[in-house]
Amino acid sequence: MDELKKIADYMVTPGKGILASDEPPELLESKFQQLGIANNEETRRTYRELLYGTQGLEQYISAAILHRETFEQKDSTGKRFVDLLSEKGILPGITVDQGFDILPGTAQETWTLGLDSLSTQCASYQKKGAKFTKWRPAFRIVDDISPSSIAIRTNAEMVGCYAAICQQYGLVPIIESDVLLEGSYSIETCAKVSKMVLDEIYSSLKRHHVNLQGVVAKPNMILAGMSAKSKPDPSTVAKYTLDTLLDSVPASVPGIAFLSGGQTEQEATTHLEAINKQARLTKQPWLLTFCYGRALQATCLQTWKGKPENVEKAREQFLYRCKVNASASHNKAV
Amino acid sequence: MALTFVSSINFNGNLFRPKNKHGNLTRSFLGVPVSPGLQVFRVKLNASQGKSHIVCLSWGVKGGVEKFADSLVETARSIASPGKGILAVDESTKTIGKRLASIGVENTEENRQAYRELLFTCEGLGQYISGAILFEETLYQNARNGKSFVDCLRSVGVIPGIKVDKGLSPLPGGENIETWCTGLDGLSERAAAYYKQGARFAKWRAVLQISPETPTELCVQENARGLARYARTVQEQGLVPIIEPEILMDGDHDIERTAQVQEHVLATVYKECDSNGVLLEGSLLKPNMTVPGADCKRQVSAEDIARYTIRTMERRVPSAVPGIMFLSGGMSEEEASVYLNVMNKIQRRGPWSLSFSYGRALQQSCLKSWKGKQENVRAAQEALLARARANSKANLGKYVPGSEPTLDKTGTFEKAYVY
Repeated sequence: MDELKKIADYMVTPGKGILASDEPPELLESKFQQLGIANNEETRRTYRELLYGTQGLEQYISAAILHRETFEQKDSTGKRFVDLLSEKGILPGITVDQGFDILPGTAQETWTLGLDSLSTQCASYQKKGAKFTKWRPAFRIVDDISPSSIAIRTNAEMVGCYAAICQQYGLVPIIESDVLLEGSYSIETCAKVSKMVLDEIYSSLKRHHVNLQGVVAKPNMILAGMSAKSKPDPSTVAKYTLDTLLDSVPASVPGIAFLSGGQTEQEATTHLEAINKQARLTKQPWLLTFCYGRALQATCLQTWKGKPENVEKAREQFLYRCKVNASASHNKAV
Repeated sequence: MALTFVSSINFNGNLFRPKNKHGNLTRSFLGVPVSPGLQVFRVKLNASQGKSHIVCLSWGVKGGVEKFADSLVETARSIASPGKGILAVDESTKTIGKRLASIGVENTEENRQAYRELLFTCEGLGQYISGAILFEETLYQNARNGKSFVDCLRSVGVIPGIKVDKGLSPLPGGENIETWCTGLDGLSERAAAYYKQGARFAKWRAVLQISPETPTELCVQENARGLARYARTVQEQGLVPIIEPEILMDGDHDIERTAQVQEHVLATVYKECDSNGVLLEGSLLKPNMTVPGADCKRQVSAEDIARYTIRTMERRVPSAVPGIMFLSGGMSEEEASVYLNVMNKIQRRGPWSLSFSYGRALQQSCLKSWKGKQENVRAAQEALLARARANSKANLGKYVPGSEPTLDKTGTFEKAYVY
């Protein structure tokens, strides 16, 4: 358990955040296509080499989440990405869920699968150098209708079970809960639904005897839906976010690393800044940082376009975004 | 449609339960007081005039089962017909290997095929057996003349079913001996494929064990949830789910304790079925009989077992379930028939059929008669029919103990039996 705590604490080191680079091949398909990049194992490998090989990355990034394919890949010198990252002091982690399925008995709501093979996966990845895992349940607010209680309970149960299994194998489970940004709901609605979800998840974690000091939380920020008429300002976002988390995330969790979930790079940074600014005024027990995917990579990807001559510039962009988010997460009293 | 609320969150241990003006305990769902015990499904969050209102919406659980509802109900009813029960032949390759080894037969695909062919071509089997549970390999096999096993079974009047779980896994957070049942990943697709192949019902076996520390609440809930989710999933693909929450005989607890645990387990199972919208009329239950632990000092009679079992079932199994098909656990062939018979001779309120879903307790004599030899096939089939007939009569309360032959002289109970 001490080992788990050490890993979790390291992941939320003050002034650093987590890089989510575990996009499955299908997800990269559309992004690559838009930029005229072919989508195959080699291009994906090259892209991840671009990211992980960035000089100085470890100043701002404490850990990186990898997809299973990437976990087995090597850089152009033949070194495993896992080793490349570890040597830099960036903990490698692995996404272990097997994606979504439609939950029977609901109208198009999803549940996340993957428990059947989880034990074997954990044992295997732990041996290969993984230090933590990720599992993603997603919830949708449609027409101001909350996710159903069965969808919330079912996904929360899966999370509890997933976390218990991972800890048994010495891996820190990231506890992710994503209330999707799609929709036109208000920020109050988001707060209410996120609280429902978080309550159920943490209840489930306790039932499964998960050691909360050995997990890292990855919730959504409390925001208005993407197509909402009015966008709340950053300080409102900060206030709602902290209020909701204070109500539902136990103090023993060492850190909260927000997901970006569809925000632009700029929004994600601004919101994180506002949250940490607000956090200095209120009392909250966990470190607040980022676990971003798109919000770190969007510009970088645009700049790269798959061309080797663009790698240096792309890396600059990437490092820059890591740096500003790392500063935004620096929760030090002024 | 009545709109109702409750919190989806477990209120046990909540010290701050607000009371309404009548002094009744209320629950609060996102700030709106509601009566306890009501089921909410979804909530419409409405921000008008700057204030968030909560308006409850109707259920979300319907849809999907409608497609097969009628045939599910018909199949379940048919399996639970008076005088009939289920033959469980879903032993995994490893398990059937043990059985074959006990009669000196090698565990090859050919031998497994030959054995199952013996069973499925047994003329007259359908008078006593309404359904047969198969293992995946068997569902896709043929008899030596090329006729599929599915067709063989149909020819003798037996509905084919399929085991769909992927076995037990240690339960993290539970006590050491506790397990949960795996198999939900990809279950939808598999169920659809099995339906296409000809299966019309499914089976999923969750296991619990009684000891001073177990079963833990976590274990009961995990297993109940898995069962309910499996049941709903396969119903959407046209398969009648047999819901099997087995409480093992291992232990020295008395019959009262078994009853107490079993009541709680069944209550939790059916609560989860409610949450998942399982169509009860299109489902079956496969419980253990309420018996004391194998090492319990206090002896009980067949009638005690019958009464405790009926009491447990009446308290906890909804009437809509057409059939309760008991598992044989560690009982011998004759024991299993006698206990079932005594149960059916007692006057009871419960309307479901109390019948059998026996594996070992139907096959022991048959296996011993066969010994892997072609010339013994007819004798082996006779042995199978004898026990099938015994259990058929037992379902009607008409079995005369000892009136059907058996080669199974001792019980088949093994401590800590691992499937």
